[in-house]
Amino acid sequence: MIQGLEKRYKNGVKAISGVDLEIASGEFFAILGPNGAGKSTLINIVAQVVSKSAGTVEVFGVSIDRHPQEAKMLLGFTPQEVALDPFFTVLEVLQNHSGYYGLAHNQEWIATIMQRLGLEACALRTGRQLSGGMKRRLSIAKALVHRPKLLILDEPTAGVDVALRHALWAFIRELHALGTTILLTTHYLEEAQQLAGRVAILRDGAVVACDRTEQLLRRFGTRRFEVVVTEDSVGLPFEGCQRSSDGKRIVGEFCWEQSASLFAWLSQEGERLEDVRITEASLEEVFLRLTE
Amino acid sequence: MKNWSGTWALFRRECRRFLKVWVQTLGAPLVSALLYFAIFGGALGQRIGIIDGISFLVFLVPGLTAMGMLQHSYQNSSSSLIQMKYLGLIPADLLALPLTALQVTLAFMGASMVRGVAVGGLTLLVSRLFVPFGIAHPVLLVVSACLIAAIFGLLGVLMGILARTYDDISVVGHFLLTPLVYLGGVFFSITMLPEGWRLLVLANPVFYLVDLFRYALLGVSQGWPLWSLWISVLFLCVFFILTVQVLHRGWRIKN
Repeated sequence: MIQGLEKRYKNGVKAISGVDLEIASGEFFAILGPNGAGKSTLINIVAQVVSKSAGTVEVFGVSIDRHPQEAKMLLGFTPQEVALDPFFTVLEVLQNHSGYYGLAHNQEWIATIMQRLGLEACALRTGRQLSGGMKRRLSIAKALVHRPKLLILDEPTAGVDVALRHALWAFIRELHALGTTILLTTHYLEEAQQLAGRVAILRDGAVVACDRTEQLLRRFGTRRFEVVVTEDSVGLPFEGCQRSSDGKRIVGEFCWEQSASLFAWLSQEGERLEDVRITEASLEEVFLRLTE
Repeated sequence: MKNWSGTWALFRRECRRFLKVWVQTLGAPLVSALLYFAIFGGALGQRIGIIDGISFLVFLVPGLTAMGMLQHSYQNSSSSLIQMKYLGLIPADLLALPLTALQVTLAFMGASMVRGVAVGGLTLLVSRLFVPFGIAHPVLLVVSACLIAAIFGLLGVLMGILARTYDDISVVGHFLLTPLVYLGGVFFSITMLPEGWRLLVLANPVFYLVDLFRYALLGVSQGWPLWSLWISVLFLCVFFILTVQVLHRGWRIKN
């Protein structure tokens, strides 16, 4: 739970201004926003790698002010910038990270994570010997090593190939199904649309929308429609639609409130209809509408 | 919440880090010590003669050992932290860890002590091959070695946190530590100095650390061993509290 969160950097930049968010246990929650909207600052504060200027943050009811270590124990954090220790191999990095959480005998889970993220082949390679994609996998594996109840992923698929993206999301979906709460920031809006149950959109450090993904699409999304009719069809479903010069094609956009008018008109046209195509609303379009 | 096993894991990581490059971290100080013995002991020592009733070469052993310990314990923590800063490891590999500032301080200080005491032990072993000496106060020797390594390990943590670049670390090394060490009675006895210089040396905290270590090893002191012990403990407490506070506030590492 995040209440009244504010963050002002030393240079005076206000990155977060009065953010309130309540994320339920077991949710898959995505935070979207343009560059500089405050997404990373927000989740970095939850992970306690950035300090807050005001407000409260609780992780499963544990305050990050009163019990910072307990709160850290509950979450796994993958920062946006991939950084790895060049001294240690992949296996050593995961064993070290396990140790920080008091897990001395965690070989089985480490092996599972490595297998699921395709890191087995490079278990004995050091950070220097890994490709960019492998580094990203290891960064995510580190966050999972102590089976956190909350997994924070800051743009985990940035610069990642399609195969890894699929494998990663399959694994994250599985963890989510087992009860892990996921907090994600991403620039790939289709990912958020497919995966997240709820979405918050940030602009200039403030939440401009926060709702279930389908509610956001319903409230803010517009759908496109294209209707092919016979020559004797006249009229338009509502203002703003356009009819082609031969009169047989009508195109337009409609929001949720206009859908009743559209369907009433379609029903009225009856046998004069030859084809109807409706394109669903996209989160990308909602995002652009709310952030521009 | 305690999480001492997490503290142990961080300590182990810091130890493994220097052991991975042992030629550089443990081998290099041995070569330096051997060179000092060759130059100061072999070439110049005979001209200096006897100091406080012992030969210059024997006098040199605790000085060189203490110097190696304090330099390497400082380097261990300072270079580890500045490297973490450069590589961008501070957020995920330090700040996000479920450890308190006290535990992080203990882990870094502990690893620096291991390296410092290892360098000291190896220097003493190699010295013994060239020069005959016994150990006057074994327990005090261990205590003073740990004090030197701990104080300079903490100084390294502080510098690693406060430094923005590698240059900052080396500036402190060259312009603060080296003069303190060279004017700290490593290579000479204060009885050899004129009055003005003697006061300068007595104002140097490193002098008390080196003198304590020399007393523990050889049983000879140029100052007051008990006084040196308390000064060292006082320094340890001050640096420890300071380091915990700086880490707790996240100064220069947490935005």
